[in-house]
Amino acid sequence: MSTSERSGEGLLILRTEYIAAGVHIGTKVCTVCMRRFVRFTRPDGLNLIEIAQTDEKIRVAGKGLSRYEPSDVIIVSGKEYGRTPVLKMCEYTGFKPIVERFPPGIFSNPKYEGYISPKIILVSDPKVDEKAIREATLIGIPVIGICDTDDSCSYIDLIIPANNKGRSSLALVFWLLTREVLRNKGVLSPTESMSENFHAFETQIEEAARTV
Amino acid sequence: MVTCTSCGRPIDPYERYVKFTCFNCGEVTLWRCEKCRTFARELKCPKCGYVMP
Ligand SMILES: [Zn+2]
Ligand SMILES: [Zn+2]
Repeated sequence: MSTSERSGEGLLILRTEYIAAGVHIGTKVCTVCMRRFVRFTRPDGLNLIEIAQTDEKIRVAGKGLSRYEPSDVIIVSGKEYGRTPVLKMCEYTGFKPIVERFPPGIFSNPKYEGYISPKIILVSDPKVDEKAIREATLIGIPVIGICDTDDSCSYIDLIIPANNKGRSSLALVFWLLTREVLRNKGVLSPTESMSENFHAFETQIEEAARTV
Repeated sequence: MVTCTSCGRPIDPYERYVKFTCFNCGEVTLWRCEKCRTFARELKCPKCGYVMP
């Protein structure tokens, strides 16, 4: 029996595990499109994300991504704390990572040396990864986005509402996405997890400091 | 001419639309026009009823 089944809430992991990683911590700003994912606004103005919504979107994203050929999926993160989670997810799934500066024209300009033609992209932050979203829009491919409460949802076709600023939060969301993809592909059984826990998906602080 | 799953408007082939298979059921092709994507308008899969984005 999986952790979620034991919890009785039907989530992929215990609600307390999401909370310990800070996945529910939004920002004091909330855009109109993200309002529907907010469970509660604290008296100090901080918006807290409804974990059940995050969980459900991770499940659906996992299902959706698992139907693509791995080489057709690009995972983008221009954030330091997104780097290791993205590389780890790609290591497990065969998806292609872009964690360096996003090269303009990489999807839209066939003359560009590193030109690739993905069928879907996943971004860790619509603000930071705005160039990738723009390129995806130019070639008409869908975008899955991890969106915080202060993010715009324009051009995002599936929103995963979550804290996309925290190191542990990003690691846990990408770890769960990876597990869902592998479960849907049949690489893992429906109750199995990868041998590494989500801490292996965390960008180490020294590593992040080096890239600044 | 195809229509946007979200607003029902016919999609001009020259506009920047997106089409994809429903992330949830994987059985239906969904179309979203540029306006619906810009304004993050909801779209509901006609087969499984799943609401995106
Ligand atoms: Zn529309
Ligand atoms: Zn559907």
